[in-house]
Amino acid sequence: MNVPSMTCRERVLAALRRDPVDRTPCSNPTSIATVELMDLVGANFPEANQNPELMARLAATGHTEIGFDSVMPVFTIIQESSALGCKMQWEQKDNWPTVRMREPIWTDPDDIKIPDDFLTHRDTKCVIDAIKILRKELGDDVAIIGKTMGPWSLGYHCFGVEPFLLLSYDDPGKTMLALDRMKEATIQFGVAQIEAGADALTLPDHATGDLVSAEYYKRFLLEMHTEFVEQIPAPIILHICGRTVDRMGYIGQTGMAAFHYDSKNKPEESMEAVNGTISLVGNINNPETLYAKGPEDVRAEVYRNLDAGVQLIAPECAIPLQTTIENLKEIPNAVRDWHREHGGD
Amino acid sequence: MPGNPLTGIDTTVAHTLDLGIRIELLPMDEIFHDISLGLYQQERAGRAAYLAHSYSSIAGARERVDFVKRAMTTLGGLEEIEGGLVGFSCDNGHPKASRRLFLEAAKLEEGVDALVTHPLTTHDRKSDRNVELISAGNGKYRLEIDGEDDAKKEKRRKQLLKALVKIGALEVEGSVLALPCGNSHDALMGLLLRKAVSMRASMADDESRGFLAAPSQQK
Repeated sequence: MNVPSMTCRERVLAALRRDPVDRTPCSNPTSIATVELMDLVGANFPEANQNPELMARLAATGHTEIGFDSVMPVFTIIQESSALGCKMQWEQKDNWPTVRMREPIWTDPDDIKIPDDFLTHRDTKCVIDAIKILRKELGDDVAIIGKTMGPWSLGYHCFGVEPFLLLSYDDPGKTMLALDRMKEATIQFGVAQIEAGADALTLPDHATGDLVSAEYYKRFLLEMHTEFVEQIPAPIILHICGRTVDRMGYIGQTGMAAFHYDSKNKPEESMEAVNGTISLVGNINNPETLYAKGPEDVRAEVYRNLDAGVQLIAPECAIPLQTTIENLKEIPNAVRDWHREHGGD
Repeated sequence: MPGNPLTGIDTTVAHTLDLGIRIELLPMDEIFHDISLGLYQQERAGRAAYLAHSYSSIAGARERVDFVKRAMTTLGGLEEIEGGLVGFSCDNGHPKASRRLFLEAAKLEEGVDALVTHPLTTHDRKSDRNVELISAGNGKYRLEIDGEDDAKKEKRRKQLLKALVKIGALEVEGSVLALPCGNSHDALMGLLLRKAVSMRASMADDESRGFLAAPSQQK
């Protein structure tokens, strides 16, 4: 089908709807910030996760320097956990901030309370204000993707990984209650980002293949993820790391726009598993390819995804902070070349 | 900073450069304001050439990069070539050894550390013996350890040979080492020998940071 030329934003939103596109978009649901890009625009971690101007400036490089069709300012997975009161380790420029999960803030669903200042806390407000800046600066040409963490991930952060998993084995009822209470944070933060100007939201919920089975996903999260689609008025991109092909059928039932999938899943089997129910975005490998190999290997993975019909091309997860700019730029270059070779562009 | 005076976002111009193949990145230069420093390999007239570069535009960053480049020429015996690049006189890249050379150069501070070429001998604290690389001609070097011949000495010789192969991508035959180009590189070999005797510190240089793990995978 011959599709008229689109803006970056139109391209991303069309691909999320599985509508025809003029070319496959490069759209990152998670961070593509690197230490070199931080130096280029003078916006270093950890400050670029706390100051909206720095956050917006660093996020913009994903489009202005790397050539992606979207920008994604929520580099970390800890902004709302910090606002919920978790103890933080902010690290330095060359590493990711983390939650001190060995010092959990909650032990029982009755402990869960979304603070009154949840959306005005420095680390959530920073995201909301950065999205406003990006919308103003980039106009309507570039897609802006926000991020709100799902309740399973918040459970790990606020209860600790092991206690939360044990709770799910020992008392599924209490676990559901905890998830139900934590989902309010997911919805509030997500809606605030949409109101600030985000076009779509990544929703990481780390029901990862190594610790959580497909049946667990169905039992605890399928219905809740479906509810997010009703409650959050924008396309949602679910992100779960690891081998997840066994639950992609369920994920396709949620009504979410896209699933951000890991390189542990082959593009062909993943497309078959979702069977047209949801767009796929990914799955360029981070540690072995983007970080450690060269542009020709990046290109091969981009081509494999395009050959399989994957709707949006991106790294599989937040890229390592030392990834080369050369490898990142190869992603949009390869997409353009693939379309040229296949009669488009 | 180009673009909007508040955010610095410039939506029209790309500022990243085609610098060649990145051989190494020091993400935070502890000596100079935590800027990142990169070593890039290019080809100039059939010759492997290296560019030290930082994307930082803060005052003094360019001078810091120039100093690291000068340190590389002294420590590794490189020569300056056109366009602010440096290269080995043999025209080969020796990327693995050059990576180590770059990291060592970036540990030095202008006005504090003297730029000196390391000799082909050093004291090995682990065995409390002196170790030496003796030129055997045609770019080959024989590793010698002084003191009494015993099992400990032989064990240490094997460890050092293994370390040199690992950090410099050297070729080894018995106790004889060489870079693949077959040329003498005394300065570079002296530097690699010093790193080989403190392999733990060298391994620390190689530690990777900056990978985001899922919460369930975080330590």
